[in-house]
Amino acid sequence: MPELSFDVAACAERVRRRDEDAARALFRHLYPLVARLVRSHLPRRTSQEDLVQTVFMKVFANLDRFSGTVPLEHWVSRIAINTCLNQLAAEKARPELRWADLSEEQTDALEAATAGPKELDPGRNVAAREIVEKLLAQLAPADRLLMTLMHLEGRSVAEVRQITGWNVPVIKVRAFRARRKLRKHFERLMAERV
Amino acid sequence: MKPTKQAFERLLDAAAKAPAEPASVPPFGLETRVLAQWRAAGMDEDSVPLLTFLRHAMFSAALVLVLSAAWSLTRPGPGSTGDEAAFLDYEIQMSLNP
Repeated sequence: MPELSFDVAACAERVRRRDEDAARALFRHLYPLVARLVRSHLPRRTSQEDLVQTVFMKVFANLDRFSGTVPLEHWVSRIAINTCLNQLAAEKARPELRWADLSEEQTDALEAATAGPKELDPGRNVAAREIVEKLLAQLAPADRLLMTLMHLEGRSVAEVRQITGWNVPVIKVRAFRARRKLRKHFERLMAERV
Repeated sequence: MKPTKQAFERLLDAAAKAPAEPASVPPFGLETRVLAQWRAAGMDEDSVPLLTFLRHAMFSAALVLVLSAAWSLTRPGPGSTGDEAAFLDYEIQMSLNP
């Protein structure tokens, strides 16, 4: 089914009437969105596939409750985010990141980041992302979520509000504190540098 | 700005620019598993009216059982008339032949 002509509302309605082809089409349409969200907020001890499956089961089970007042993608995003947050909250242990845990590429990226005022070489972006994800794993689930959405995915406060359902002042205050906490973890890591 | 703060900002900027892994194709078997679970959940939903019916039927049967037991206990049984007749017969015989 071509992406442009995909009618999400009609498809969801067919899924409610137990049309299996529609369920398959909806799964294929939503999979990239769900997979991207789950990967961005994946708990350490959970497989991405399992979490994606859990999200889809929640989506299908609650499709009757979808009112249609917001786009289906927003509704699904919120389910995916909440599922990840719950899973992250269940994993209470957040081990500290040590300099020795970093790979050679990651230490090189960190050295480059501290070397001068210039932007990092684009070839080091992936390593930088890996370091930031490891640092984020030390934060509380909500803080991690905000940092990922706002600083890594570049989403606006309005978009974050739509995804999480939190109000704007909460988002701003929490994002500010989360950024400060992340910087402290970063400084602790840098202090270990020999 | 402290050097570590600058480094932190540069690291965050670089991380944000990292290319996202494409995730357009679900891993093998995931779609089948999700659809199978969806089907199974639908079958569970279909069986709900049958379960409700069976529950009501069981409740009704239990109610009938209790009512009939109560009725049989309050109502004088078929044996009690015979006992009464025998007792009267005994009384008559005793009064005639003391």
